[in-house]
Amino acid sequence: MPSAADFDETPLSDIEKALPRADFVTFLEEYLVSAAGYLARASACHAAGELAGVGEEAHQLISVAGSYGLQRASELARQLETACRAQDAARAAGLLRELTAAAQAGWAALRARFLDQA
Amino acid sequence: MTETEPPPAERPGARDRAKVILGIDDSTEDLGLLNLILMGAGYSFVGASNPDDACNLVLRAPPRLILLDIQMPQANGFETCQRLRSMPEAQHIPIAFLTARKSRADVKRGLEVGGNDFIIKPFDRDKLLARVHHWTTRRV
Repeated sequence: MPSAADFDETPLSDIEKALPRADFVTFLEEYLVSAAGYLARASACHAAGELAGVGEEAHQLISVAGSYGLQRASELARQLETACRAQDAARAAGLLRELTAAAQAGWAALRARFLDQA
Repeated sequence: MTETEPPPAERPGARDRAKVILGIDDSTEDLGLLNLILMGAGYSFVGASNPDDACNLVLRAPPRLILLDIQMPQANGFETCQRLRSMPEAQHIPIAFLTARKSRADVKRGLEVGGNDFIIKPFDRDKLLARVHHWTTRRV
């Protein structure tokens, strides 16, 4: 079950108040699709042994996760980018697993809070 | 006026609508969020995903502030900042770097190429708006 560490709803709550419901839903649906793309590309790069590519996707996820309230995923992405820059493949592999779990938990919490409403 | 309403001087209004902010970032997610935050605060926002589009936008309608990502694939933010500063239309526009990294070397380089500020990603709405307010009320 996602925890408070996975997702802070504050950044999106402000935007929810300012947008018509349909526009807000579209905004979040598009975000969830595109944000998941960074993680998928990071995993693909890792499988191909391209540590630099993993680092580039991790760099993007620092903001793509954190600015939307996924602070834990953002911090893990920052650590992953650092590990990739240091060519530390073993640490990068572990961090990518942690990042994947944290991001998926965060996005699930985001969906539950803002999209899975009656 | 109710107790929850901001005083008139702090309310977004026609004066702020005229304050166009240009965001340059290859992340559509960051541009989308910047757009909603800044529009919600009463600013006008235009986004560019690459330096060429950004320079064209500056020529067409010089913004009051440029928010510039550093790590971009086509040209990094430092190179883009230098290019903007070489344009007469952009010489007096404040440029704030948006970055997920803020090393001492980044700050030094950013100032050398004509940047004015650093805003750290992931960005916090209130801190972002405070910096935007600061820079849209002055020229450099």
